[in-house]
Amino acid sequence: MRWLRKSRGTHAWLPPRVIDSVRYPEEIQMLYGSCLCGAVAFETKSLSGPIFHCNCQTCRKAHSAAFATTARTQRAYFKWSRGKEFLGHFESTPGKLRHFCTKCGSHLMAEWTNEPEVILRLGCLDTDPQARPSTHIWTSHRVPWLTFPADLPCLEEGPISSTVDDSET
Amino acid sequence: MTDLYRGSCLCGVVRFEIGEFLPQVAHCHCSMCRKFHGAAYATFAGVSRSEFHWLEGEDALKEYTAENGTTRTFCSHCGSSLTFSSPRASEEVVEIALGTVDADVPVEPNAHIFVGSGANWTVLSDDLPKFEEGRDSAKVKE
Repeated sequence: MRWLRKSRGTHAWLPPRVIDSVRYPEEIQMLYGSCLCGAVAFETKSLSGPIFHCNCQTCRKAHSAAFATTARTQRAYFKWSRGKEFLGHFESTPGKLRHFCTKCGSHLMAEWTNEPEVILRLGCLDTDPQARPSTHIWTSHRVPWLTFPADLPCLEEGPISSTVDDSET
Repeated sequence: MTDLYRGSCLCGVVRFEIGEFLPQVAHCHCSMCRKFHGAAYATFAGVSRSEFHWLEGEDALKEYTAENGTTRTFCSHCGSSLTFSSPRASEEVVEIALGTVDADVPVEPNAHIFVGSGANWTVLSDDLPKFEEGRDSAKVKE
């Protein structure tokens, strides 16, 4: 596997220490994912951004977990390959839709409807994305009784918090 | 008087109350928990059924029972994962997804379980005991 590093110029909104930790497979990679009961499946080509562990309160509630592990992919590459009729969504902030399987509750993808990328929930991936988590974000929202290993750089807010005021990724 | 610990789903339709927690709280890395939560791992705390009460939104709850007999409930409005129960565990115990609890709780995660089936992109660097499968299985060597 050959790896590319993104230049700082293309990810100027990320802190340098995050950019330096991000690596992407050089080849286009097919990624497949599905929900717990198997009714819904999706596919896409390659991640288009770093993998984040998001500790924000909304992700904590949506996923009922200490943090949600997320990464972006191009909307043009993403498609529901099975079970679109079983999808439900919750609009947690105006314009932010979180899609889940109505048969088993798995959260699969979230999107800002006006953005060219969608945000995968990596717990539902069936393919190894090759890239690895780069950063814990929104650690200012973390709760003390859901401890996590501080094995990665931590950002108190989101990676683009200087340009948007919403707390979700 | 016992403190009560309240929790809710993301959209707030479902609300519940816990009287007392059991001591075992685990991060579960099994593939079913990863899928159910869409996360690297789930964190569940055991509670006696007599100490757990739905306060609101019980009609919005949906259940999913997998082929292995385990049953999970979630909010049909927003998809928040809420509870887990297994036919292989005591009927008196329900496990609560700790991420939905709104209050500070008196327990902390004390094990990683089913690490053997965890995602290979999850890196664990804390000091908690790590088990291949359940707590009665082999410990994973550090």
